[in-house]
Amino acid sequence: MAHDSGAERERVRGAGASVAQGDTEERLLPALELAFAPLHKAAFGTATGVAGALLLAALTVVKILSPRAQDFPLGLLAQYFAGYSATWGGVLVGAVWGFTVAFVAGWFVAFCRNLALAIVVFTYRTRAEIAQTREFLDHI
Amino acid sequence: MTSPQDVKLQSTLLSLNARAWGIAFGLVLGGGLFLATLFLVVKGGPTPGQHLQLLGAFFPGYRVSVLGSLVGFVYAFVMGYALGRIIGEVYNRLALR
Repeated sequence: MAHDSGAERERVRGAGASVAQGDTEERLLPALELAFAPLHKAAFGTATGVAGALLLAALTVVKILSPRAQDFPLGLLAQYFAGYSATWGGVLVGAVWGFTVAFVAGWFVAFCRNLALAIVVFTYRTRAEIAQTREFLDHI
Repeated sequence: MTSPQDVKLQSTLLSLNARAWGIAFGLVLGGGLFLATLFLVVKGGPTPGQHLQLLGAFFPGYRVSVLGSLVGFVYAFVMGYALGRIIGEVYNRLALR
């Protein structure tokens, strides 16, 4: 009888532990999702695009207005950015090109960052699963 | 996660720290220009950094010299900080709408 009661206690404790584990997972999952949240690629690309557009436009404006910058060969950017020149029209063209190039770069950075994060999460999960099933044969 | 505190916590965790991004960008750009300038100074030659010194057009006081590398660091840090800050602020406005 004492043996039965001990086994029953073990069974109840096991069930309790299982429920507690499920409960903990339920509470942890949203927090983990936040901790490993990916970057919003379009938003990050747009943000870097805005910064790139402002940078190129500001450089062009300084080049036009400042006598010191007259010798700076900013116009060489036309080799890559079709239609660009160090003129007032070039400010707009440069801003468009700056946004485009920086958007692509930012989008790609966010993509690579999300990919690296996904690989890290996958590694953690795989390690945890292997650790959980390591003693699987002992329980058969 | 539906209470106002949870929503606030969630947006805090998902947002970029604009100031940290500014400092990081500033350090990368500033450190890059600092090292590039010092490298050319150490390398020496008859006209060291004849192309890099053109940056003096945008950064008054900047030269390819040891002192110029410090001046360049300050300029590039300020510019990088502004860029990083813009990226952080714009991202937070777009991603957390």
